[in-house]
Amino acid sequence: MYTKRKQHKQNKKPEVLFLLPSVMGVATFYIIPFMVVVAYSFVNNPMDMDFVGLENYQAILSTKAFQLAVKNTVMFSLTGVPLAVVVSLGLALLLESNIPGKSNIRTLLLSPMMVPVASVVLIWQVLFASTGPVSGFFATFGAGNIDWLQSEYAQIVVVLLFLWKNLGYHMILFMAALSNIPKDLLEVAEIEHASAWFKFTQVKLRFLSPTILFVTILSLINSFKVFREVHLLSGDYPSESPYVTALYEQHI
Amino acid sequence: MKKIICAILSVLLTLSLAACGNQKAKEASGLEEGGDGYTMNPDLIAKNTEGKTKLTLACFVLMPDIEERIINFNNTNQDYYIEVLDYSQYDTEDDFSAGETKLNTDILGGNTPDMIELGKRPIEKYTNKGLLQDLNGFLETDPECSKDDLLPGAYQALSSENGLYRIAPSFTVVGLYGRESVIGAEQNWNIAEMQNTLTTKQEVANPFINMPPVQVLQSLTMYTLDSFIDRKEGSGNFNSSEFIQLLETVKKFGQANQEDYLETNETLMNNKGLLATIYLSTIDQYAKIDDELSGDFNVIGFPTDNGSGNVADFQFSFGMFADSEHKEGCWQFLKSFLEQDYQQSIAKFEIPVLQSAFIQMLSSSNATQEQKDQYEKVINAITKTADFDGTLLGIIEEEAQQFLDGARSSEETAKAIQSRVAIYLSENS
Repeated sequence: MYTKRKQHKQNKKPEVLFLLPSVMGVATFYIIPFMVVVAYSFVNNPMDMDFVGLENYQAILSTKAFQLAVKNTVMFSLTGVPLAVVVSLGLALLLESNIPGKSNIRTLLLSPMMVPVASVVLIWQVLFASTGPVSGFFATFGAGNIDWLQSEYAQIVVVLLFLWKNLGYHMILFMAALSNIPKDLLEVAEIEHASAWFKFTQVKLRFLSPTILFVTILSLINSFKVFREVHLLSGDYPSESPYVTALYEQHI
Repeated sequence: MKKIICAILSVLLTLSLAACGNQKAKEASGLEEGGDGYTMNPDLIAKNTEGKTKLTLACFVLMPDIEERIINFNNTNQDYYIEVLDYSQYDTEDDFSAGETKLNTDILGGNTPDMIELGKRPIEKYTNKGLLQDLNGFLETDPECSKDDLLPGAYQALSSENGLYRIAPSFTVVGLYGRESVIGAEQNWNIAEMQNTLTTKQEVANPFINMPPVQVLQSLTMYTLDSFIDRKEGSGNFNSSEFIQLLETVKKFGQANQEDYLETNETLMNNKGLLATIYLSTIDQYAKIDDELSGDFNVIGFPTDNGSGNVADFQFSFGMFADSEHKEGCWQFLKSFLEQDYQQSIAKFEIPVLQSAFIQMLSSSNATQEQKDQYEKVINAITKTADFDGTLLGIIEEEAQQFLDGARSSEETAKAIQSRVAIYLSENS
């Protein structure tokens, strides 16, 4: 028993050595900087290092720019995340059924994942310009020229871009989850003359719930990182509507 | 055997990671290898530094006479020498502010230089964070130089609300000028009065000589930004009626299709123009323009609601970081810009900040007494400097362009500018 324990301990040494570079890398580039930043948040500046308690937090919470950024980010998340989950689930259910051209539609929905945002933003800027086709479409219903990107509607454009970019990936995740639902349960439901709604809510949704949670968390994380889209669409200092915390962090 | 190989691999990996970082840091410092930016005079590298304390000066560009002062300081001062840190070498074609970013990174990392050449950048970026030393204390205790030795206008223009954070050796005065018989003899005016004058002279072909609308807007905002922003509060009022009026004035009277350069004073004399920008330096320049306009000359300034609309433009100014451990040495260098001999030498080209050198410039000039009196009046009325904030001016120009192109109204433009500028000011308050 003692020999086994001694052998086990000796076997651990190479494991530890193998882990060492990764641990050092994570510590150097993640843990230590994180701790340093937390320490800096309690001092007046990195040169004097005088402890100021929660003054920095009070200062940032009272900054109007920060308040606006947080409000916009929360609104964006509350709008974009549910839409990302519901629409991608809907698309996955649609593609699960036997519709013609299913694989072409799937390819079409996945293609935004391959395109860099910077390449596409120019087209979105043209589409949503005050004299662009989208404004023109609404003008036929009596609305005036709307400068989508510099008005209170800018956030709608950012949400649409966010959805357009991410729906394909979420849809794939849901399709994979749908294919893993046991077919016999659905057959039993079919035999018992269950309605489509019953099959969806009582069978499919239960099996999809881990994936729904995963997609929700993923979308939420992505919604807080939506810097590229806003910066490329609206520039460095946009109007109030699309100003999010990612931009505030970048400027600070 | 396996364990030995694993141990060697782990050590090698760790060392290579550390070496990578070191190499990157060396490349990033760039000071040894040189880079883009102005070419530093090699004589700036101090010789005979033994026994002397090093003072570091962060700069982006230096003119030859400033370089000469540094070389002179290094050669004559027994206790200190200056090492110039050229941050312009980090700027690239894609990123003109890379040098400034590097400086900010150095400050955050604790490698703050002793002094900085501030140029025309807004100093609130540094003063709002308490990074710069208030120089009033040195002026109060220095036996050779005090606040009263400086031109009052220059001192006020250099000062911020909370103190004096920079010293400049000289300045020019920027304003609008025209014929006194046309624009009046007042020393200042506001937007409404300027618009009134322009409206009554609508027949004049070029109200703003050699200034297309965008440049008119840039001039009128750059030199009057303090009327529309409050940096301390982090707020702006670009959606005010004054700014809307300014936009409409620019659109109405700025000439979009000015192709040929017009000789300014000739255009004024022929009544083909009303206003032009002046970069006023010496009394001799003032006298020359006055003579060309046959004495019918008035420097009225940019429209403003309070004080003089002429502003001081400091091409170079130097500040001391509050963190410096050699404040006394830094002050010795900064004070060297206020020496009588040096001030008298630069009085040939720009307005010296030292009162005695300014008086000397006036007395040695061939200008008439009336010209000297008028010139002195303009200089002494100065209270502020230009606020050259590139980001702010870029936002205004970008939004105003749509208005000037007729794509939106002045109210919508003002609202859009206010929305964007409010965020910028709030972040930097």
